Amino acid sequence: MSVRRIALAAAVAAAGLLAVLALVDAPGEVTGESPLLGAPAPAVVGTTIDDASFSLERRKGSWVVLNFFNSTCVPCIAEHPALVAFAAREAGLTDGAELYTVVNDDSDDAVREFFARRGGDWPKVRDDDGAIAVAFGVARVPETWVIDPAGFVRLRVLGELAPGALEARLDALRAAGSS
Amino acid sequence: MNGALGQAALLVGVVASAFGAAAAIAGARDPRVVRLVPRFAGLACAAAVAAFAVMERAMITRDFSLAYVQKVGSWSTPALYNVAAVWSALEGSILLWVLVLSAYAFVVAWWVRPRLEPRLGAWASAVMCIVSCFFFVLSWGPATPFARGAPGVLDGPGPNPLLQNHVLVMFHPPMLYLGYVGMTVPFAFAIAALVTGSLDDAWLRATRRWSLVSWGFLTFGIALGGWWSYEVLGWSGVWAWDPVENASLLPWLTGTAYLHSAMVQERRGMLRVWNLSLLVATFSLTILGTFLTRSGVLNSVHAFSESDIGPWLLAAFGVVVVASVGLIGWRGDALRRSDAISSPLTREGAFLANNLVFALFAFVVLLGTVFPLVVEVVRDRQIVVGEPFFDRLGVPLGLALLALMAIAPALPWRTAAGAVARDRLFWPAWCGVAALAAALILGAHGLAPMLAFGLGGVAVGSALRHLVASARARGPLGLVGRSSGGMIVHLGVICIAVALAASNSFTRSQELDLVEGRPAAFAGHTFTLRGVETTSDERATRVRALVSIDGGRAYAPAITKYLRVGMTVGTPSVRTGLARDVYLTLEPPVRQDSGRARIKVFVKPMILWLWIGTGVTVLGTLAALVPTRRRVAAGDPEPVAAGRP
Amino acid sequence: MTSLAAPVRPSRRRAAWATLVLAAAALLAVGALRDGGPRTQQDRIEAITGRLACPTCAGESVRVSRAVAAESIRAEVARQVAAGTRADDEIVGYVAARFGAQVLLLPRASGFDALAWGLPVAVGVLALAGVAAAFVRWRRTPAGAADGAAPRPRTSPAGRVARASAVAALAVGAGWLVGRQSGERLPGQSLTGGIEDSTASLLARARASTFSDPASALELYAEVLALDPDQVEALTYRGWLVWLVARGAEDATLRDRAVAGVVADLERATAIDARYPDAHCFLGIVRFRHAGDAPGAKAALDRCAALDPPSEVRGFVDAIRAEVDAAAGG
Repeated sequence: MSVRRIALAAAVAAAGLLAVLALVDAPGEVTGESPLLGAPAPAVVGTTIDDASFSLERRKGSWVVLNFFNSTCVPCIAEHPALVAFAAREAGLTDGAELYTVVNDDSDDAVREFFARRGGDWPKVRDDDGAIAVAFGVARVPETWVIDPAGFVRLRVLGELAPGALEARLDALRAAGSS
Repeated sequence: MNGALGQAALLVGVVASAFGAAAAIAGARDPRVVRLVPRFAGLACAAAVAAFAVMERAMITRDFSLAYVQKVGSWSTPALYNVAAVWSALEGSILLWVLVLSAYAFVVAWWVRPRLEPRLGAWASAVMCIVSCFFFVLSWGPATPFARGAPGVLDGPGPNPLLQNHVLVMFHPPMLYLGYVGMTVPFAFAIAALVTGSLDDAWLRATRRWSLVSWGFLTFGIALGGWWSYEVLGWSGVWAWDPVENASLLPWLTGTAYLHSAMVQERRGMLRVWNLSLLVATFSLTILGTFLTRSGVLNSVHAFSESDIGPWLLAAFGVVVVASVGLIGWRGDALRRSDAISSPLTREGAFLANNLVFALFAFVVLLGTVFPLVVEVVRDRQIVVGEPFFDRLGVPLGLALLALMAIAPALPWRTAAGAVARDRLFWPAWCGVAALAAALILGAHGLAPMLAFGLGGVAVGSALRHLVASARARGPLGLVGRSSGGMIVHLGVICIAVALAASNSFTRSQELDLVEGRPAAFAGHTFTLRGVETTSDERATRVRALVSIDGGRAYAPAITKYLRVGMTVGTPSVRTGLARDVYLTLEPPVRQDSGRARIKVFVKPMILWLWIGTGVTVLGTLAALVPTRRRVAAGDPEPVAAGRP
Repeated sequence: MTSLAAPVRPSRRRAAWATLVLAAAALLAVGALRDGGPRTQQDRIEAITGRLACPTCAGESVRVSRAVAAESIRAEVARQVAAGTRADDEIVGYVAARFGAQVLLLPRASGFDALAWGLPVAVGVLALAGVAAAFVRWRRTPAGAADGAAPRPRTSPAGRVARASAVAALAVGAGWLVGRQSGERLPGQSLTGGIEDSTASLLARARASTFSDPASALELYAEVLALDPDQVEALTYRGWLVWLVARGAEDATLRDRAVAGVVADLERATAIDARYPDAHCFLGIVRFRHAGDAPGAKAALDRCAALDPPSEVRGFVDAIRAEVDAAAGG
């Protein structure tokens, strides 16, 4: 085999590598998929920052929304008004969803201060060693999960919630469930 | 002011190196023009020094008008780390690169070129100037550290807390860059040889020392990185196979392969295309590695910042590969020699095998590093390839290299002589058996580590046999020079390999909940908590657990919470010993006044030998640089490897 | 080059080599086969977390990383190792099932990912074949015999093609084999693992079919109770389902007997876990509707309301609350 032919082969290999490197995007938005969707929710338990106990299993019979949160995360701050509006709307419904904040790597005081300043009086569940986050496969906050009254995971939203989006998705899920 | 000064200096650098390149290319025909090259290269080098000095000044005086100082500067950073803060993020790293590269370019133009065939030297200078021009442009344009920042900023977060934790941040990056960037020099000569068609071995001999120096810096830099990881990161390991580490390992692998195969070319005139290809690969891998780790296509701990220089580096990689492959293809058939290697059981046969393994190793590392990207493009799916993959494939390759180190030094050049090799291997082989027996007595188990110890023993024996023979023949001078230096490097590398095998295979770890004054035992050691201390300043709050090991002095693993960046960093504390290190980390949650602490204990054998091996490797590199050839080879038309009686 | 060994007779030297090879082989065998002793829990944790990628830092393992997500996964792995119910592979599978396959540091043995294993082996085989071919050629043309042009090999083109394809087949085969052997293979990537998990799955399926298919829901609850007779939710909802079916029954004796069973189930549930609101609510409803026991029903409903029942249950209660209050008050 001549050097020229080997050089050609090397050039082709390098061109392939170059094409891959040029085509790949920097890691961007990850889709809101999870093997948990459509499966029974993990049986997570915890205590709220007001020391009430929380068990997800015991909330079957209600739609449950879990919002994974940290008081310093910027998108969490940004989406907070949307959550407050969502909670207000759900409180007025007969089958209104129960909203829980799951606190990720944060102190009780910081969380209390956050909610005192920005509103929202739903329960905030401690997740000190990240057991709840790991059970759902949550790596970055914020994330929002919806669990149906039978205890199945129905929806995962990665990142910041747009105002009104959660309401729309939940209504769609309710409609699908009752039909 | 600093911003304008720095930009001006970089612009001078761009222009000077461009002129330098032009003068060198023109000078390849006209010897009068070529005299201008050192001046332009010197001007570019001075410009780089000036730009770097301006950056240091801005950092030291905390000139927060610059965006870069806003990013990595802070009034609360201690002076030492503040100096190192200049290269703690992308823009400053590129500036350091420019500084090192332009210095190399100047030395090539001023010192190396006049000692060579004029056209070869001119073209080598031209390539150096073109590469430095590219990096000047990079530093002046897309990666400028002198951009203006938002007005009104009076203080910044400082460098990443991990980079203000240990004095090694002062040395690891500059050493690494001296090696990494130094690989440009042999590359420039390889390209010059291809362009001018001076394909005899003049370029190779001219760059031998340069390759060795770069290789030594690179090795030292990589080892310092491992040391930093061990002392700072708190997971008790030295190497995590993360993309940035891989990026520094890739050129090391191809560079090491080159150092060996170059000897075949010097001695036998063979493997010319292969040697040129290795140099091209080494240089393009430095560019590719920088692209992979700095453009944000891969995330990594080391990528302390990202920027939009990705397309530039990718384009440079493309140009380098296309140009080099084109040149090799063009000149290739003129490079062929119809010489032959008579048997795999000759020295050149062993070097061939060595190159095969190194090339395969580099391929594995490159594949593992870019495979996630390939999967993403082809399959649109995200995967991560890490540590266990490289370990599984790296272990057999490492063992193969150890085996070659054991056998190759005993093999004669040119003709296989089984009897000679057997004679020379007899005592080294007993060394191997002794090493196996010692390992068994000390409790080793498992096939791979046992093989590593056994082969390591033989390899040590081989290297020592060579050194002893050489010293007998030539006295103390027999211990320096190229091949004896090489054998000393082997001793260092074997040390490192054996230490890695031992520490990776036989680490014992346990988490202990310590109560003050109540000793806990693990792996033959007792650990007693003496107290938990909290210190606090404007920068950080630090909690230290004072733990006495075996009733001796107290070691203090700590957790530091950096207030400004809101980052928590654990700092391990290590009791170092010849046989084993005891490595302590403090684990959260930390309860300050409870008289309790949760610590993690790692008992790691032979870690100290990693650093001893590094020292020996550096010594060996220095010994290999001592010139002995002229005396030995005087009157000998065929250059003979020095130190061989 | 002088040999360091004193001259020895060849036969003796051969015997020495034989001893040496035997000794090395014996030592290696002993070392390779002997047991390294038990691993501590922390050793297991280190091994497991070394196989998992930190989901927020890509490129680092959970073992190495100090990121929050990595700390959380480490804590979970530590919990499961301490519990001792799952094997290493199962714990890795547990984490991968939740965070997705992108937390596996070891490329999988199947599909496209197996290329990461196969390619190096195939390339290695090809390179070896290339070097072997070079040695064959070198043997035919001794050093310095001919100039530039390599002599044509004497084999026919067909022979060369056959040889090349044999090498290629060997390379691909070896690569495929190694890929099959080395990759990450996890025991069933499903979410069901321990007994709690299968119970949760049965309960969720039962709950989902409460209204659409009560018969199979009853079967599922029975299955759960067979596994765990004290499962409060299964007791409560089996009772509730039986009540829903039985209340329409024509035969009063049959109905009474069914309801007695329902009440027993619900009371047992409240005895096992007094803080489970659903059982109290259902008990109140059954007491009122079946036995007309308004004060007893009110007590149960008040208890239930204090425990913050989920909205579905609250809906059932709201429908009869006024009636019960009126009856109890009157």
